[in-house]
Amino acid sequence: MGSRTRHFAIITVLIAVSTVVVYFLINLYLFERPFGASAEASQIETMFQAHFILMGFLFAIIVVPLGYAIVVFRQKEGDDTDAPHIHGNTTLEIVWTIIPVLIVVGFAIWGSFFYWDLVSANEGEVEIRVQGYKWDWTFYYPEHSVPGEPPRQDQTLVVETGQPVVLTMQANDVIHAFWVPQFRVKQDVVPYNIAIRSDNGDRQVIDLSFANPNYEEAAEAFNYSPQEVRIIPDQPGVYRLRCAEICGTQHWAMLANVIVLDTDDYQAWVNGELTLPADPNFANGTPDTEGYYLDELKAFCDEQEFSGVNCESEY
Amino acid sequence: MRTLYYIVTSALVRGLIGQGITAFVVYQGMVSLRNALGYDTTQGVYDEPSGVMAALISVIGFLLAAGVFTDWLKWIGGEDPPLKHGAQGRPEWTRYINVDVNHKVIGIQYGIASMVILLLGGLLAIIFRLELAMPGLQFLDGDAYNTLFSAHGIIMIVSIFSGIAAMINYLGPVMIGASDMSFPRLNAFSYWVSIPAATVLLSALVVGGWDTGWVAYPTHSTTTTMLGVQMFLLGFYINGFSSIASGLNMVVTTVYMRAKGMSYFRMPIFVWAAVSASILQATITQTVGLALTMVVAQRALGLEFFTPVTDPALIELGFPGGDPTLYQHLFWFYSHPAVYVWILPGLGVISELLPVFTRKPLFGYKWIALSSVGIALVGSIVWAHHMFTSGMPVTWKIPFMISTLFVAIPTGVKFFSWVATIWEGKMRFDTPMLFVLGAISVFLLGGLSGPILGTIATDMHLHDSYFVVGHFHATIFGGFVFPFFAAIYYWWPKATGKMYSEALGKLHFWIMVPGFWVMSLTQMRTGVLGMRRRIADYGPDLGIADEQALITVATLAIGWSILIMLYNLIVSLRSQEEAVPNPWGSRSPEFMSPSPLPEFNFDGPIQVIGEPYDYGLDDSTYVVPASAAGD
Ligand SMILES: [Cu+2]
Ligand SMILES: [Cu+2]
Repeated sequence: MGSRTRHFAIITVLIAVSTVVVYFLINLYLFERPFGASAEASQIETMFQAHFILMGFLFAIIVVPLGYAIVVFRQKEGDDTDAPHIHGNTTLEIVWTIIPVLIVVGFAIWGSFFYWDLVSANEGEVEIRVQGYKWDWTFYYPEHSVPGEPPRQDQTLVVETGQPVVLTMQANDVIHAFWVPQFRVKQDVVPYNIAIRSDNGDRQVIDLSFANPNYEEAAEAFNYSPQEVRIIPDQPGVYRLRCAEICGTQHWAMLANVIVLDTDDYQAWVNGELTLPADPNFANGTPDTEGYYLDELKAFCDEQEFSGVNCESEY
Repeated sequence: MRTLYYIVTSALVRGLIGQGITAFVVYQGMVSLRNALGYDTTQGVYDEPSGVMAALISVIGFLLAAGVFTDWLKWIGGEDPPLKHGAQGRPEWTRYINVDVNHKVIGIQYGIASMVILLLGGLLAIIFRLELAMPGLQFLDGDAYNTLFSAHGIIMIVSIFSGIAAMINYLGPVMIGASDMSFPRLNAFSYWVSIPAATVLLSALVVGGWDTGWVAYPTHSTTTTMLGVQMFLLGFYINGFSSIASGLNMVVTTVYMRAKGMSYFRMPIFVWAAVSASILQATITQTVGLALTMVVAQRALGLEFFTPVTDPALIELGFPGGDPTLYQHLFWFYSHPAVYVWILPGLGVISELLPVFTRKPLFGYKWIALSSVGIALVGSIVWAHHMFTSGMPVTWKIPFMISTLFVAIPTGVKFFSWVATIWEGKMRFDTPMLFVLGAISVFLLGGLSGPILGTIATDMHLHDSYFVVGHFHATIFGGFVFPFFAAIYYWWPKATGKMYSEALGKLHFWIMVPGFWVMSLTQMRTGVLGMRRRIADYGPDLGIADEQALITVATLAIGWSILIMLYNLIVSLRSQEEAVPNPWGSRSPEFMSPSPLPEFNFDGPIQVIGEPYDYGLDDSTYVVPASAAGD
């Protein structure tokens, strides 16, 4: 075996081994995901895995030859001569252009369908309206509201296991972003303010806030489409919604509890028979770590018998 | 005493005084005028429209007082002033604080500015990293935290722009065998306009700070009551003039000033990267200028570009309302390719140094050269990947996902070509080479964490999380900071004629590279776990307190290691020992000349008679004095 072939044989083996090792390192420790609590989370997990494998492989294919060359070919003591005069290899360049092109095209096609699927409407979904403002969240439940009356609202997002939900979103002041790490979805929440239309030259001013009892008509009349995100929650537990777009002084504190309940518990909540844990609150001059209300969260979790990772206070 | 006199009468000090006086006079004048017109000027820390006017005109005050316009004004007056070279009867060091047209002086001026600004930006980062070391708010409140991270971002960006300008200015002309840039006065203008831009920007910290990050998305940036935001926007805006002018200058210089025989594919590879970055700089900066102007105008003049739909009073006047997402398009149309402006020169440094320290030709010169152009081109059509979670329609997101993934191709070509260059290379581990290896490893972290942000499904989780913070710090440290440090160590003996201490250089490396790896990977890890970016506190419920403490420790290590570098370099200046002209055995033109380089770079014209990276080939010569070329 020529020495060139031997070198290539060794690094091929090392690349294979490193790919596996790096993949496991990334998957099990380095980029550990939070608990997944929605159907989307399991779906997206597939794509995370594909990326982790790719990361492991690409890392190995660069670092192994690099490390090997550093160790094996480095300048030896007393050797002041130059290295072999190799200035390129067009075949090789074409190969390492074409193969990545194929991988990229594959990811692009797969990723497009994957995403399209993720954002398409689910059958039987119910709407919950999310309003973000400096620096809190309010949720409106049209399903549990009487038309023409102010909609039912809550400071906590409560959803039912297995029930597809479309969350429609608007902001009152500046851009915020909806992120529940356990659901794996994020969506900017863009201000709506007041809409106008000019029919026959007339200008109207209409309130498009979710709080408006006649929101539906107004939205239809003005072709207003708020941002939306879809989830099918599938693991009961208590999670947290975290504003992910810088929005000023208390951006860090713009949190809300997100509670996924079994059908029975959910009905109890709808009927007003379930007391929810306190909404995170930093406005009362409490020392800030207290504003997270972790004890209340824990008490609620214990009562509901949510186990371990389903409850953020367990950390 | 003489020293003091030289400092006080320098362009730098005159400019700053001129800027201060102009700002004061214009501000007072505007306030009196507005008072006379019946406006209320007592809102906020300062009167906003007056402050904007004062800041803008103060830049002209600086440039006039510093003498940047003197030659051009003489021209207008019909004179034809000659280019002034040398220190004008003053000591040599005064050239660095006066308006000087020599590209090497300007390069070093940029280099010093870059390091000073880097230290400031780093200090701000260390302050807020200390706050983040533990859950809960310890010593900063929300506004102070927001000001610090916003300022850290934009200050580092200014530092990076200075850093790449330092490399491009110092190296560009000499590498192509030219005696200077095509437009030396414009070159001086590019540098000097960035100084008043920096003072306007820094004044944002004094007038109350701001809380919008460096991206300044409306409607937050158009409504925030932290008035530092205006000075930030203006400082950012004015710095754009520097980018555009220096970009144009470098492109023209490369096209017209190359030495005889220096065909495009025989230029040192750094020049390819520098030109790609320069083309980008000269053509994309305008859109961010527009975006920033629109925010400034909305705030100061009430033009409602970005308010989704306007208030009833404006509706009465017939304003139809604006679109907050429009800003994001304008902003990222510039700000994504801007990242390539920052990293292309650094990648050029990596490609430039590898052959020297492995004693082997650069593998696939043309592929590497064209991949820089490819990165610049593909990088210009991917901007909306910053908006995968914005209000943009789904049908727009998918094409941008596809274009984004394609950035991997030219980037991959670079990586593979580097590895092939190193393969069988007889590598030497001098400090510059260590930093090149550090750069490759760190840029690899940045590169590998990219695709997962490029596919929308996974980006929905990671967008605006600390994963992104880890990703772009890796990209920018790998693509700019480490190569910049490699360049400083590598060309230090050339620029100063002095050699630094190898031992301290290696110490710097062995602290900074592991420090950075730990910092960046841990940032990514906490991001996946749910840590958002730009938050003053993450709370105890995420369970990432240990990781956050570790990030802070790593940040401090990086900070200390950079102080070691500065100490090393400054001490070396006082050393009695002269560096040899070509300490690394390079074939590049600048190493054919004495250290430090003479005023016009070469004793006479040079001529290219061979390939740039023919290491390992006997009797192959790259450049010779034109007089010796014999034709
Ligand atoms: Cu918010
Ligand atoms: Cu980008």
